[in-house]
Amino acid sequence: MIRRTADGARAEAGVQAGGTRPVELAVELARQGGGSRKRIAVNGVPRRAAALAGTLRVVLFAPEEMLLVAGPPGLRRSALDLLAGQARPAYLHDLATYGRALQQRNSLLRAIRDEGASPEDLRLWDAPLVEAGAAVVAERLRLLDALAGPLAAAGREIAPGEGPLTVVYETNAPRLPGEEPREALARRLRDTADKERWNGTTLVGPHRDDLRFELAGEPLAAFGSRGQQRSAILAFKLAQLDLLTDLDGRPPLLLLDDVFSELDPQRREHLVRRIADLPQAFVTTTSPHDLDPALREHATTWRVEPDDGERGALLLPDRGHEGPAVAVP
Amino acid sequence: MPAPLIEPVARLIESFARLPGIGPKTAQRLTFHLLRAPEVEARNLAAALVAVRDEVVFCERCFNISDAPLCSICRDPGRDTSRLCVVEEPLDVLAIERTGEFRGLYHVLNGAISPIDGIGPERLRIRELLARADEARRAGRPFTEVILATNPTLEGEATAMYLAERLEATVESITRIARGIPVGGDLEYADEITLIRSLQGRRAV
Ligand SMILES: [Zn+2]
Repeated sequence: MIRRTADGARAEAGVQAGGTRPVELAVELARQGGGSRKRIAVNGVPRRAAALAGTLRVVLFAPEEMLLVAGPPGLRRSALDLLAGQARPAYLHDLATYGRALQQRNSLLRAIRDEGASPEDLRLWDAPLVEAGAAVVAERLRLLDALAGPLAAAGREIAPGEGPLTVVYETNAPRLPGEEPREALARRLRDTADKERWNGTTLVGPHRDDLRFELAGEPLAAFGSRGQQRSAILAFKLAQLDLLTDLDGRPPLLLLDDVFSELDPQRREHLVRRIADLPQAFVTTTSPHDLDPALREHATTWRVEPDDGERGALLLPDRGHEGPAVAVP
Repeated sequence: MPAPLIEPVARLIESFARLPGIGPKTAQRLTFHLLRAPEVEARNLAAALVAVRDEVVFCERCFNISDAPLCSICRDPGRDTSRLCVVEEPLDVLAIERTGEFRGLYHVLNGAISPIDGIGPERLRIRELLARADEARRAGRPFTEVILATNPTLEGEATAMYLAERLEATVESITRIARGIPVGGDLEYADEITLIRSLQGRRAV
């Protein structure tokens, strides 16, 4: 975020993972037009965002994700995309290509409806849409497949005896027997051609797919208690830690943004145990007293304070535990 | 309240800020630079701006920028008229010309198909390209090769696909430029997508 009185914002991080060369990361926000433009550099060389995903893997656990199970599908797609992009950075390229092809196609659909553009030109965008869309779906399925084991294990650990925790991919372009994902998507596009021309927007594809959390085969969004839903979300996050660690033996960085107050004591304790096993985790909170005493004991604490003048926020070694704090075990 | 900028200064800042890639800060810097610089510098810039609009036209055959109805490439009798290279922008012509590798003719589309920006095929010099290929074929000298050198972006690819389908009947062969690692580029710093693409496009040695 850019301070109202400033021209830009900059965050830097030095990353060193067991035995590898240290990497300097910088993310800069500069004002542009009404919004801002992000610039990323790795070791001083400007790179795309995808390069960052491969360099510094993170698992983020933020309060808004407490809605992951029962909230809108976009939340679940974003969570899955963030994970898939870190597991395989090329995924982000497929996703960006898909998004761009989708935007172009939707613009054309509106032009066909409103201005009489040629429907024949839809084919130009169908090809990249189907190709990138099928790649996105295939990678999501592959990822969920790999996540299934760690998820079930984490579910058992957090809530023993509640039955197996699973995540099911809900696609709006299911495959017929013997069909490839791209064939299924192409077929569904043909099926919905009239309807989407009327709507002026693309109605099928991974941008409308969803995830369904299930406990013992029952959908958690509809039948799960609040506690069961939170257990599932915590298990989902911990399974991501395991999955990313398994890629090359390097645990990702865990970022916990103000989530402890959202968890009951038992789940809190479980999370603290897992944090203690990690080489590094960042915990941010506006109420440091809510942090588990066991966590505070072996954490380094900083206070974030607004600077009086030009430079923005300051990180100060914490003394009084007032104001927002960052804890790094 | 701070005093407002005097009108001519404000107007110049605004004009600069409308240019692509120039933000309000840079626009201010450029304006005050010109105010401080020797008068001739500002007068030269003004004259160059007027001349670029008055003296530069688009070539009526290839739509490259030109100082005459036909550009210097279209006028050059030494060019290979059997090969045609299709590009998005006049700058692309310059880039290819600098290589000295291509001795054929060009066709500048002046953009790529992009519905987001309201650019359909009819907004580009595509009709003229198809007419050109057709004319050459009727004259018994069809293009032996049309190189589709639009950018390797989604829009450039879509434009290439659109052209390939429509040129098929009138030219002998249609080719697409290859994609890969820049020469002198460090493999380590090539982005992943470029690497993947160049692996996909690898050939036997
Ligand atoms: Zn010309």
